[in-house]
Amino acid sequence: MKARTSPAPYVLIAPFLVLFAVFTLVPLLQAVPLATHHTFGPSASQYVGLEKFSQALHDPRFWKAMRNTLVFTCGSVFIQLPIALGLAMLLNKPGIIGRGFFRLLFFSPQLVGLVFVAVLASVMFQKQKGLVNSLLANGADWLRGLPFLHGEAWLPSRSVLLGIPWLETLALPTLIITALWMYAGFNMVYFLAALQNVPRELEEAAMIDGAGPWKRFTNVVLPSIRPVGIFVVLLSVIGSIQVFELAYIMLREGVGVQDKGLTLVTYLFKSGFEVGDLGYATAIGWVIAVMLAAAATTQRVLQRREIA
Amino acid sequence: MEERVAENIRPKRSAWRTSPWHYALSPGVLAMILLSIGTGLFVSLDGSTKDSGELSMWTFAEPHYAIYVPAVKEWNAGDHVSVDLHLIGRQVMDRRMLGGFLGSVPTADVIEAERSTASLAFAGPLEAVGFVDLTDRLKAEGLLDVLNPPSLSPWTYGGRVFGIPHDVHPVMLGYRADIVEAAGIDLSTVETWGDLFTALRPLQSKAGNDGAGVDRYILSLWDSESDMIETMLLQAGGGAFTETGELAIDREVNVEKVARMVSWMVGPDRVATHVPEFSPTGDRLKVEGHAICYLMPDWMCNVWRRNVPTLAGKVKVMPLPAWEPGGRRTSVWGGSMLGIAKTTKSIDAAWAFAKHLYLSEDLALELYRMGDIITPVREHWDNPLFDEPDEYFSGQRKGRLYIDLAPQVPLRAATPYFTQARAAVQNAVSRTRTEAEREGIYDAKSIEPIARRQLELAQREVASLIERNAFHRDSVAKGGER
Repeated sequence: MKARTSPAPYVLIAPFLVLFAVFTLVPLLQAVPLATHHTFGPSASQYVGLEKFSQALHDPRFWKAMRNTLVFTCGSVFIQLPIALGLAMLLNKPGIIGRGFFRLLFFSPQLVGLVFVAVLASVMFQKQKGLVNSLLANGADWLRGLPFLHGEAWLPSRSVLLGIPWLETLALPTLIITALWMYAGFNMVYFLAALQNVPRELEEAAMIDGAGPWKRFTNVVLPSIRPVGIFVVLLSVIGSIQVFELAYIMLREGVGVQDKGLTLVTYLFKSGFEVGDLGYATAIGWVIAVMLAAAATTQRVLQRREIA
Repeated sequence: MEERVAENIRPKRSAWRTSPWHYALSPGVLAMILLSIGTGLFVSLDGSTKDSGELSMWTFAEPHYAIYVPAVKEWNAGDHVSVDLHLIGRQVMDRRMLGGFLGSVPTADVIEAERSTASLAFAGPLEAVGFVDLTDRLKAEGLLDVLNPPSLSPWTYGGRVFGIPHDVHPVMLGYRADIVEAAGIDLSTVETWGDLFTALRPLQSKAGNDGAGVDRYILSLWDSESDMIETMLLQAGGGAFTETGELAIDREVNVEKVARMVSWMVGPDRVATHVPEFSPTGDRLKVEGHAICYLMPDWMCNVWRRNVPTLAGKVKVMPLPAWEPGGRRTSVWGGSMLGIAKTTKSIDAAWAFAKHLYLSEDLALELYRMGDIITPVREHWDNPLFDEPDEYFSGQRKGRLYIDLAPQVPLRAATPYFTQARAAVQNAVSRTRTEAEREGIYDAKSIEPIARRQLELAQREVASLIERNAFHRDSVAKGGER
């Protein structure tokens, strides 16, 4: 006998399904033929087979974008997440003064939004008058003023420090630093929530057994927050592969000098909406989709192993 | 009795509460539905956001908009098809225009497009260009002879003209006259870039590590500024494309000029520096005199006037120094056109409006008065307004100085790949500078092999980009026009 199901759940998810179909599923299906055509509007279209994919594989700019995106992703995972975890551990200490204030402080870039942070960062990282270079130059001046360092030649000159080209040839490190500023506080919140769920008795037991802080961290804390850690890594990887707004706002032409800040999504955007080659842009889009699918699958496998 | 009623009600309420419909029609969901219906109705019935005119026009530049508002108002007061004028950001315009052209959906009837925006329309076959072909109308009304020829070239694709030019944009050299004259230096005899650097060399200075003194360079020109590099190459008769639109990034004139420009940017005695345009940092550096000379197209005069008013009376302009004795003393930077979208409701009405807006003398004078822009309509150049002294530029007859150079402005081809080619050239210059600096090579002749290699790389990159365009490939295969 079949169980009688109410139509209500279907009605409830219908609005989502309609929106998903119209704005995601149909465009996704249309992206299949689009990647195999060279088009310019509906009246001008030519079938080119898999040529767009082959062109991407032989395009040095595509590989540069891929390299930059992967470096940015590594920066997010290997620099940003340890810092976020470190901040979370610091703020998880019970006796720390102004804990709430620091939590808000580190999370605050999220409150103002990515565009605001990017605009602010692009002003701060400017040559000559930017805050970062001015601080470095003034810091060097101060060091030179110290009696035991007076006249030290190894300190870069004021002109050199004021001229550090953050937004030009150092575009990628600048993007990583800005993303760190933007997202470290955000990821800290996840880690903080996870740390607060680490059983106190486990830590205490480890302490009684003579485990030092490092041992307690690697053998008790890290395994306890592992599921959250995997989730945060996945979020960071997906977000980093999709990085676009930061580069688009901060860098000249959205890519920086010598394509130093060119990312995959920026290249997709430029190919589609500046060159008008929607087929090529779609082919890049499929590559990104495959990368994201791979990242999501890895996370699922790791989590399943975790449960098992 | 009351108990029986309560018993009847209770089970019903309980069933309702456990039913999924209870959640589907909960107050929160109902509130959201009502809110969406309400806002939808408000937006669709709100008349204030709807166009009242019969035609619409987009422009991207705030100074242009300010000039056009009274003109459009006056036009609408007359017995004409009325027009709504909209100011939208350039990047937004790029997306909306290209989206409209690609999807054959209506855009504005009349679009004022900057060069990089207009070039987007030329990426497909000639018949798919989203702008109306104005060639026959321009010819029939004798307008091709009225307009400055170099101003038409960026809008001429496949031998057809798709827009009325807005400007000429000749480039002069702006310089800090107060600093130069205080040092007793006379620039009137300067003819070439070499002469300029020799004359101004005594003004170069470096700030000390204690912050005392000023870092001062002769010229504002840097490898990250693609517009400036393009302007310099066009002056020399080079550039990414030939006048007929062939890709020629690695030609010899570019190699030699890139090497010379890079030699100005490297080494302990470099003469060039980076003063970014359109930024508060750049404005502050201008006030401090970080660079003495600047590339100054006519419209840039207005940018300076608005953004660095403190330099009023301290700046002068002079013809660009030539690359070689007897060479061209100007170049070109920027440019806009007025095009009519093929989806317009009335091509004739849009054409009448476009001519009024771009070709009338009143508007041409207003363009100069409010935007410092020289009209491409040659018959208006005799107006005495252009001879009036300009207080900001130390009393120089600035308008006449620019007009004298207007006929020499270099030709530029219309191509869908100009933005990408310009970026590729800029990257090549930047890589050349990095390599020269790293290797300690500061002499132009010695930099040439590096420049050649980098420009060849840029040439291959843009050529492969063009190769990806199946329509372009086909037209080349058929021996047809681009």
